[in-house]
Amino acid sequence: MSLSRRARSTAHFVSLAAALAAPLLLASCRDEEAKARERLVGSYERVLDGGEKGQWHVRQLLTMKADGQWLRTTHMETARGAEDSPPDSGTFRIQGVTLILRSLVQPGGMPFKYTIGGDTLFNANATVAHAVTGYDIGEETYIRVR
Amino acid sequence: MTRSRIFQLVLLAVVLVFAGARAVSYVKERRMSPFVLWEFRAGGSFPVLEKSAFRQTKQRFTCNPVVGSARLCEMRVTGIEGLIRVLVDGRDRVTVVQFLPDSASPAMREESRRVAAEWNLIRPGASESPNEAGSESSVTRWQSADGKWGALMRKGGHGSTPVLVTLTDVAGLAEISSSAPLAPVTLGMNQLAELRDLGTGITEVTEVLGTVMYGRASDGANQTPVPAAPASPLSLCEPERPDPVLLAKPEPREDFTPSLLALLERAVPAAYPGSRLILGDGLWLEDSTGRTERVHLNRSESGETPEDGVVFAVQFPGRLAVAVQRLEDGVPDRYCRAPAELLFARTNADGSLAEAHRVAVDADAIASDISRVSLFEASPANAEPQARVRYTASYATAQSYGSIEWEAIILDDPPRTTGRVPLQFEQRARGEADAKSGFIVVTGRPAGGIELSTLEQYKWGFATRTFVVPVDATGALLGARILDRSF
Repeated sequence: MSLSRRARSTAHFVSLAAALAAPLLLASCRDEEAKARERLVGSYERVLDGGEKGQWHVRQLLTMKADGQWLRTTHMETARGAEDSPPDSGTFRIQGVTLILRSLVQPGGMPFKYTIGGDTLFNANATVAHAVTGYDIGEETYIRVR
Repeated sequence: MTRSRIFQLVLLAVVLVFAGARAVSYVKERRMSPFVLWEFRAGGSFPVLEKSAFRQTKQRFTCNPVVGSARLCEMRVTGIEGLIRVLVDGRDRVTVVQFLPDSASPAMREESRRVAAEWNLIRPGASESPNEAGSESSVTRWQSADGKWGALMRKGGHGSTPVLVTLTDVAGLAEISSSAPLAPVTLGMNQLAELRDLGTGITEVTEVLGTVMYGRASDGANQTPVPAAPASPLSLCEPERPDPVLLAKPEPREDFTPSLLALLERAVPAAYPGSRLILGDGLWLEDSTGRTERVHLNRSESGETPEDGVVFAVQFPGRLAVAVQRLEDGVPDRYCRAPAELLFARTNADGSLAEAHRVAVDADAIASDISRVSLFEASPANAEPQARVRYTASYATAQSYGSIEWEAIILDDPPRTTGRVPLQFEQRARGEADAKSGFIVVTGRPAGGIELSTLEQYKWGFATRTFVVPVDATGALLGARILDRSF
């Protein structure tokens, strides 16, 4: 009886240790991501000028929020006047140096990926796009707005 | 002992094993670079890397010796197409890893961004702007806080995609670099390290060639004594076919001015008694029996006048062809000599011949062929005027035949060869189609021999070897002894 009690108490001890350790491990991973999110929070812009005589100007603003939400707005100025495209928004995760945006506007769509390089977000979707379409979508970078 | 005690001991043992394994893993991790490119990192075990690479690619690395026991291993990969190069030290540790992508694919562009971002988290990289106007090349370097590990990305040609990614074990590379006299330049020529990082004081490939190839004859430290003529030299080759004089073309000669031709017509009978120079569509020597033989006479690069004195390289192409053919045939009893010579000639003010001397540049070789004669005035570097003669001397050994290119120094009046410097070698094993070749540098003078180092070029890159060649009884370095070793 006493042996069985000891074995049970040991089992309890191991279970308890595992139960305590698992959240700690998860928490440490979450902590890393939380720290990365804190560093990332802010607004990033992408500006495009086009046309032979600067006939159009586009400014995209990607805002990363502390609660894991993102918002992208697009403001265009063309010869016909200024207009704002419908905004896009969603949630984001950070894995290492990769930022993954999921859109609430296109919930089933492919997530957008960016590489976080200091204050610059580098598009990391060209590989997949190239594999699917055979075309290189080129580079697309967002720079932090100070 | 109670069961609970046994259980506690087992538990303790499990904890100790776990902690030990963690400690070993930590130590191993500390011995590897924090900069990782996919599964590649400097400092790790090459056999482990090789096994892992084979699992994924079903290919094996091809390895070639570079410096001593260090080898350069290469493998083409297809995920992101390119070449993986690994410099492995004598203890099978990965010292340098490089990836050279074939093209600027979107995958490589994005991978390099990701990898650079990860390395920046370890320690921010330092970027160098292009040093040449209009150049698109740029370099970003990373170094670990303890200075033991380095990483580099070079861009240029592929736009924003790197053309080269390098991971380095700094101490391991320094160890290989100091293991042989020409190790730094060999590593630099293989682009495994930047020359300026190896403490050579050399930054450009052209400077490397300068140290191994050009201008070394002016430094006495590189010169070796000239061998004396053998006691029983081979007989001189005879052309195997008649060599009749071809009639001169009606156009004016382009090879020599009339004054130089007049000098040669006077100098040849003095230097080659019983012979005379015949001008045809080329130049011939006619001996006292009336037999003619084509001769090539090439003057020195400097533009001296006949009154200053002119140096000509003299070669009999018919004899040379026989000597080389027999050397390649490899029948020692049929070997004969075809030595190149120099002809020094000068006229008096009235046009009469003042002096003419023949100088054999190499009494030891089976055949020799002069490619360049340069004259130098006395200067702080040269105490007296000198001629430097670059020539290729051919030799045969039991296993191979080949040549050494030398630069000989000619001094004194009458002129004589006073020393020479080995520049290049070419060795062809009998029965093999491909020759081995490379530069040779004198890198030491141990007792009884001369230490030579090679810089050899192969399809895959450059390698260096260092070896000591015993000198002959007079202290001279013999070409045949250099070629007598296997490269």
